[in-house]
Amino acid sequence: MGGEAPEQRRLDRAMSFGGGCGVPEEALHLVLGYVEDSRDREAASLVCRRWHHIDALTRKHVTVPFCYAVSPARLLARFPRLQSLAVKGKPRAAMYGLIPDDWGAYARPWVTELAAPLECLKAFHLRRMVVTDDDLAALVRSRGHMLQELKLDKCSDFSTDALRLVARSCRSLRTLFLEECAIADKGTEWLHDLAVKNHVLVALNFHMTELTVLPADLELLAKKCKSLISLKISDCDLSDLIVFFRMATSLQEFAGGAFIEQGVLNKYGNVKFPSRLCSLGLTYMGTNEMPIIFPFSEILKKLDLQYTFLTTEDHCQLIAKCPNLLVLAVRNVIGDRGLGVVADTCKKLQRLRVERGDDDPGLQEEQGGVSQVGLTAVAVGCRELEYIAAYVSDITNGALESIGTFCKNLCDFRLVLLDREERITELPLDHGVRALLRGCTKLRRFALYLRPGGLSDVGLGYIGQYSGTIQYMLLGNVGESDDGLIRFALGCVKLLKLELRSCCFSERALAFAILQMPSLRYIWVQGYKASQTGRDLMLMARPFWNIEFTPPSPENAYRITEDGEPCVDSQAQILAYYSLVGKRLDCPQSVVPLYPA
Amino acid sequence: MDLLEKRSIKKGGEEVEEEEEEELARKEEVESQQGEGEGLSLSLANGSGSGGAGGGSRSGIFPMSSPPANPSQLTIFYGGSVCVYDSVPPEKAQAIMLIAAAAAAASAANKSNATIAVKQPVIPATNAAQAAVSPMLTRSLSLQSTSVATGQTQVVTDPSSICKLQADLPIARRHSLQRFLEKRRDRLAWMRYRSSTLRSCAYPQSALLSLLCLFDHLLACLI
Repeated sequence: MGGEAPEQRRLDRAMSFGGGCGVPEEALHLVLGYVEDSRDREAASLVCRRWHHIDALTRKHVTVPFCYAVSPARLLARFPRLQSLAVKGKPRAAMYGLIPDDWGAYARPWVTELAAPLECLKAFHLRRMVVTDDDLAALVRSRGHMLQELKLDKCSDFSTDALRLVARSCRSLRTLFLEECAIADKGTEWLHDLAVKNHVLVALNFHMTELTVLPADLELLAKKCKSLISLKISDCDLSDLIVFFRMATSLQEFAGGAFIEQGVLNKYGNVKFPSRLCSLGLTYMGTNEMPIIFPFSEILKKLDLQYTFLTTEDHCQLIAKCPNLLVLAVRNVIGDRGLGVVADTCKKLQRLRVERGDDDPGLQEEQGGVSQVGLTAVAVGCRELEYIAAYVSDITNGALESIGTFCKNLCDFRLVLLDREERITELPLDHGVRALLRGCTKLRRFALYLRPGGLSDVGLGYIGQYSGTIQYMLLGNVGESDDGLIRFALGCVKLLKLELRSCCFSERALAFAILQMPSLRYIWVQGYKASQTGRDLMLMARPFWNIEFTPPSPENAYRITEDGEPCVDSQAQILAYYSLVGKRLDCPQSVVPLYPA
Repeated sequence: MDLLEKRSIKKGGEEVEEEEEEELARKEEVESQQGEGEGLSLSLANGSGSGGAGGGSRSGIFPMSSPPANPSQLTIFYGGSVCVYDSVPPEKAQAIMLIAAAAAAASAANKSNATIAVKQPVIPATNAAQAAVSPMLTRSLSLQSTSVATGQTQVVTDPSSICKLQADLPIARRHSLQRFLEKRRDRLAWMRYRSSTLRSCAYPQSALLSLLCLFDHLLACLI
C-alpha cells in the first residue's frame, strides 16, 4: 500500500534485517543460538545473507545423512565452527550383509580435511563407515585434547591399537561408543589405559564386538570414573563382574556379559546390580538365571532380551514384573502370549522391537511366533507407543487398523511378514495399511516387507496417498505391477529416503517414479526387473542426481557364503542420490556409476 | 471365440475386460521380443486329460496324460523355471493354454520390437510366462477368494498358488542377530553333548566314542 509513510516502513524493514542501525549482531547470534532444529535453521539461513552467515557461525551440529552427498571441504566452508558432526556411510542394507566389503564409505577424507580445521569440534559420530587406525590417529592428533564424544557405529577396519591411542590422548572423553564395530583385537590394554587416564567417562559401549574384556579393568574403571552411567560390553561371565557391580554405584545402564555355565544358580546368585540400574540386557541369560533380575524389575525402564535364551513362558513371567518399561526388545519367541503380558503390564511402553528368531522350530521356541493377536493386544494396551518394529508370522488388516486407531503417538512403524507360513490369515493388507497410515499422523518412518499378494497396486497407491509426513520408507514384496509403483510415487510428497527390495517393478517404471517424488534425495533398490546395463535408469538423469548401478551377476546366484546363507550378490542394485560432489571416485569394481558417467 | 470376454470377471464393469485384452496384447509384444530359444510348456494335471490338447498343434503345448497327483493342478515350465498352480478349474486352464498358443503364433508372425509404455509391466525373459499368466490367473482365481468382499480388485488370497515371482530374495538377516543365533546353536549343541557324556560316563567309554559324540553334535549345529 502506498501513501502514508513509506519511508517509515522501509526503515522498519532495514532495522530488522540489520542494515546500519539494525539489530546488533550479538543479539542475532544469541537468538539464533536457541534455534536448534535443523529445519528451522535451514529456513532461517535462507532469510538473507546476514542470517545465513550467522547461522553458519552458530550451527552446533550437522548430520550428513550420506557421505557421498557433499564434500568435507564444502561442509567446512559452510560451517567452520561446528561442534558436533555425524556422517553416515554405507546403505542400511550393509547391516544385513547385502553390501560388499569394498563398497566404500571411507572416513579418511572426513578426518583429514575436517579434524584440524574444525576448531570447535568436540563430538564426532560415524555410522557404517570404514575407519582405519591411521584415521583415528589423525583425529586424535588434532582433536584429542577436546574430544568429548566419539561414536563409531557399525564401523570396521580399525584395531585396539587405535583405541589405546584414543584412551591415552582423549582425557575429556565422556562418551566412547563402538557398538557392533568390527575391531581387530590386539589386546586389552586399551581398556586399562582408558580406566587409568580418564576420570570423566559417562558412557562406554563396545557391545556386540568380539573384544576381550578383563574384569579387573572394568573394576578399575568403576573405581576411577564415578560418573559412569552406562556400560555395554562384549562377552564376559557375569559372575566375574560381581565386584564391578558393587563398585559402580552410579551405573544406570548395563548390557552384555554372559552366562557361561548355566543351570548353576549359586554361581550367579551373588550378582547384585547397582541400585540405580534401570536399563538391562544380559546375553545368554536363561530360565535359571532370570531371577537375578526380579529384585529390581519394577524400576526397569529398558529391557533387551534379544540375546537371551528365555522361553515364551519365561518372557511372560519376567515381563509381568516390569510395569515401568519404556523400551523392550525381544525375539519372536515371546509369542502372542508374551505380547499379551506386555499389553497388560507395560502401559507406559514407548518402544517395542520383536526380532526374528531362529527358523529351526526345535530349539525351544515351540510357542514362538507373533501374529495379529499379539500385535492387536499391544496396540490396545500400550497407547504410548512411538516405535513398533515386528517380524510377524501372520497378520490381518484388523491388527493394522487397531494400530491406526490406538497408537496415535506412533512415529516409526516397521513390519516384516516372515516367509515360513504358507497361508496368511488375511491378504492383501490394503485396508489395514490405509487405516494405519490415516490413523498414525505422526509417522515419520515406515517399513513394510511382505510377500507376493501381500499388497495390491491399490494398496501401494494408498501408501503413497496417505504417506503424510513420512520421510523414510522400506518396502519389500509390495504391489503387483509398475502401475502400483507409479500410484505410490505420485502420492509421496515428503519422502526423503526410500528402500525397495524384492519387488516386481521395471527399470523404466522406477526411473519414472523417482522423478515424481519431489523430496526424494536417496533411493536404494535390490530385487526388481533388472537389465544387464541399467540403461533405462538414464531416464531419470538430471543435474546433481548420482545414479550407481550394480549389474546382476547370475554366476554368483548359487554360491553359498561362509554363513551357509545363499549369496545375494547375484542381484542387481540401484543406488541413486543427490550429490554436490559429482561422480563417486572410489567405487568398487562391482558398482558402475551410470550418471554422471 | 473370444475366451477373454467369456472368462472375464465383472467387477469394475468394462475396465477388467479391457485390461485383460491389454494383458494379452502386452504378452504378445513381449514374447515377440524374446529369443528363439525360449520354450513354453503348459501341463494340466486334470482328470479330463486331453483338455488342453485342442491347441496342441502349435509348438509349445504338451498336455500331460499321466495320472495327476492333484486333479486341478497346473504346471508351467518356462525358460528354466517351473510354476505350479493348485485348484485351477479346467476352463481357465484351457483358456491359458489357448492364449499361450495364440501368443506363440503371434510372435512367429510379428517380429518387430514393440515399444512398451511405462505403465505396462516390462517382463524379463526368464519370467515372461509366469508374469503374463499370473495376472490372468489373479483375476480368474479371485472369484474363489474367501477374504472380505470389497468390490475392489483383489489379489489372490492364497499366495501358495502364485508362483514366487517377486520373492526371489530370502528375507535377509541382521548381522547381530545372526551371530547370536549361531552362538546359541553352538551352545545348545555343547550342552546336549555335555549332558549325554555325563550320562554315559556311568558306563566305561573310550575317549574315541566321546569324540565321535562331540563331532556329531558339532555337525548338527553346522547344518
